[in-house]
Amino acid sequence: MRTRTLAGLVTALMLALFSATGCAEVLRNDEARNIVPVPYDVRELIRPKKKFFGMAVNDVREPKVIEKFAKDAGRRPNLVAFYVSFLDKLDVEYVTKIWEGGAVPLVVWEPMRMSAADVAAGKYDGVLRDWAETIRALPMPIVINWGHEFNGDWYPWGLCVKRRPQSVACKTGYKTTAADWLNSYKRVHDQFMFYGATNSIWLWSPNINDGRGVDLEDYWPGQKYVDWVGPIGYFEWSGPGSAMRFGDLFDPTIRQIRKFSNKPVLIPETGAPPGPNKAAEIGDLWHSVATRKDVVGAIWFHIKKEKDWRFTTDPGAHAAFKDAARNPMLRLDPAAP
Amino acid sequence: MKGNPLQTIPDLLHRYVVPAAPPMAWSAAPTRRRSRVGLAALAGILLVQGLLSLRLMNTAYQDEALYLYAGHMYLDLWFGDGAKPPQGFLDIFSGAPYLYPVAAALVDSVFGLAGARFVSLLCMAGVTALIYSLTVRLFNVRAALAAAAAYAVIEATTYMGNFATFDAPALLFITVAFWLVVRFDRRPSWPLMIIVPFLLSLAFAVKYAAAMFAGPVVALAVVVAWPYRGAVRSLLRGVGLFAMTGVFIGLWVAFGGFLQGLRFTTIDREINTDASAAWVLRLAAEYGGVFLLMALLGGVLYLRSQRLNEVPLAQRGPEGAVSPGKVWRFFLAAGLFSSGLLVPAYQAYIHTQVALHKHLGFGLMFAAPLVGVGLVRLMGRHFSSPQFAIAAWLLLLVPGMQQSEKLFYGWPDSTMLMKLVDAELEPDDLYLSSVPQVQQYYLGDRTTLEQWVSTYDLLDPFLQEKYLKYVEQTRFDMIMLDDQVEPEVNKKIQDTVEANPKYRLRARFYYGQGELFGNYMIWVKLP
Repeated sequence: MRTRTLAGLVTALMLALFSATGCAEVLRNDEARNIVPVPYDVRELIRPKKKFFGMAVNDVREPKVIEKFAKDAGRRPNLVAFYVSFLDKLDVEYVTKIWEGGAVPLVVWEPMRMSAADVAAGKYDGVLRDWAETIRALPMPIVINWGHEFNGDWYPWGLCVKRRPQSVACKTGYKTTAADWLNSYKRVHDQFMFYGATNSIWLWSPNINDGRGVDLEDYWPGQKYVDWVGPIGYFEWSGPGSAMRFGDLFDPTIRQIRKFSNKPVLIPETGAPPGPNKAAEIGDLWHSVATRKDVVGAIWFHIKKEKDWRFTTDPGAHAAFKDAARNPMLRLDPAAP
Repeated sequence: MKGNPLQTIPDLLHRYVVPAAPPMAWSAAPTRRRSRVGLAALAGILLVQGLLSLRLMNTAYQDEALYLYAGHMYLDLWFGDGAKPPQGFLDIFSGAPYLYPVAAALVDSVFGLAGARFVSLLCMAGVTALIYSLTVRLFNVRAALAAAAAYAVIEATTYMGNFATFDAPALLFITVAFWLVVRFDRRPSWPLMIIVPFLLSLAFAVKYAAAMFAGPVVALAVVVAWPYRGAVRSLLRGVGLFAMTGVFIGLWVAFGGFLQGLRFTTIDREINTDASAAWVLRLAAEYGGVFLLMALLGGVLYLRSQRLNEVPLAQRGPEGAVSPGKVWRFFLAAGLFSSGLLVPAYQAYIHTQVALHKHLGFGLMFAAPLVGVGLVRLMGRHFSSPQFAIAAWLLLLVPGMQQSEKLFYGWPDSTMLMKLVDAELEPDDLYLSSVPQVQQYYLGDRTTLEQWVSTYDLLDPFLQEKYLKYVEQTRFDMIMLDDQVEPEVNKKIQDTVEANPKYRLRARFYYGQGELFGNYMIWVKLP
């Protein structure tokens, strides 16, 4: 081969490769390579040094409720719970607003119109994927409370017991068993993890009322599925002149849970009806949350439903709430725990 | 002819004479214009090849990461105050750790992984260009362009062209050796007896398995020299090349220090058994079957008829060589084709599919000229039916693109992982990883080998017990599992991690395409 041909060969080669590099560089971007951002790190929030001072809202379309709560309580909530029907989409704008307002959004996710067994069988995996991918992409933590108060019978996913045929759980006809609910919880969690939504915090939430003789351990999915255990209870049954204490209300259930789990406690819903004990109960609730090592926070059910649970029902309760909210232990900043 | 036949019309009308046609209207010999056109077309082919390779984008594969990391360690040892690289490099690598890895690490330290991979692209483009050049010499420009176009688009070429491992340079050395024996087929050349064996032994040292192709190069050296040099001298050339190659390889084995690695990765088949012979052949058919069939077609058609172009009376060579007879054509075609079968046959024999999709590219390089002949024959005389050749070429291009993409995305992109590790990295932390090589490479001197435990170690029952206890005791600060790597221990690790409440899943992602996919899971300690 002549030198000139060889030179031609080398030139052809170099020209071709450099043009190729140039073209490829244009095509190079993260989206084409399916590179997803690192999910938000929720580690520090699982057992934070300070506590969650939370509120529950009824209507997600009314953001002013949070502002009103903050104004009335003298402190912004750092955890906001709201209720979503299973087939609804996650309102990204709303949760973003909550997060930007300094609070972690908590979704109480209610499978109202489907059986837990169907969810467990994977019939709703499309919904789960959609939610998981949405949440994973959000630069914030989101708490998931799937099918809460499963040990009650007042929700379709609850337990239907024969002696109470008129309960919601029995009337819907889903005949949800503990295993059905358990498998649905695991399915939801597993799908979320499969799609990488590790910024979700998992709250397992029974009601403190064990009138149906349910063994909570039958509903326990296992330590890898749960971040917080969350007994729900209200200061409802206090007699005149003897306010209920936090321990009276929650400790029996917590003791039951402690037989199989040491996960931190977050009270997902609590409140007190109007009455002479309300102020004292509010004070004890927040004092206990602030001082007990096993409790990471509580959520005040700031909603008028069946009874008026809001802390603003009388000046005494209002003042007690404002006073309790001043506790520096409730000053958790979720963005910098 | 003298004068103008149309000198006078009456004259023409009276005595019409058909002018004698020249024996040739054009020449078959390479002209400057022809070689320029050929080179321009080759440049186009190389552009396509480069694009096909560079379109593949993924972070470092574990082998690339390991080799580059090893290369950097040698560089630190020689030019800095680095520690001696572990003996393991010599014992487990499939090529000498102080050759290619060091060269690649040098490039990597300036241009990063993309630079190291670009070296491979240069090598593979060189291979294609050499295929063009040697096919011009064996056959003609048209067959050469077809051969280059065919080889440029297959999976092995595309993949190796963007993969920073021993493969591309080793293949380049073999191809240069092959090109040299074709280039000097007509002349006595004593430097050939040194350079070719040296290149072949270098290919061997860079990648041990490349030694397999010394045989085809030597055998084909005899075949191509035969018409010009005669039986005795070409056979002597073969014997000489064979002996010298043996001497050089012997020197490498004696003084290279990698005998253990050679046995572990290349010779000792007990260790690598991972697939049935039928499965290996099936895979080989998937990745190289169409190419080999076209080579077979080209070989058979070449055997039937020597004619390669439309030029009347065209001879094979300009130097008045003996016109190649059927026997010679058979040996050439058989030599080229059977070299293409060498890899599938050997890997089926030793029952391993490891790196088959790359190794095939070595054998297919030899078969490429025959594919060129086959494609040209499909096209017919005077380009009468280019559609057949184009269709045949597409049968190479489309699966080649699909396969290379599938294989190249067959390992997890570690962009997210590295962001995570980077944020967590502490000098005293201990990590458990499926492919610590990748993290070690990307972290460079910010981490030490001692900080990493590979899940591969847990294949050893004693170490498995030890490290599972570490997981129970939360002694690993981060655990990174790829469920496709060492799946037999992954389940145990995952169960142990998930039973420990002090760990939490930090990230999980899915990767891959087609039948190659997996999940990556990363756990961190809770505060």
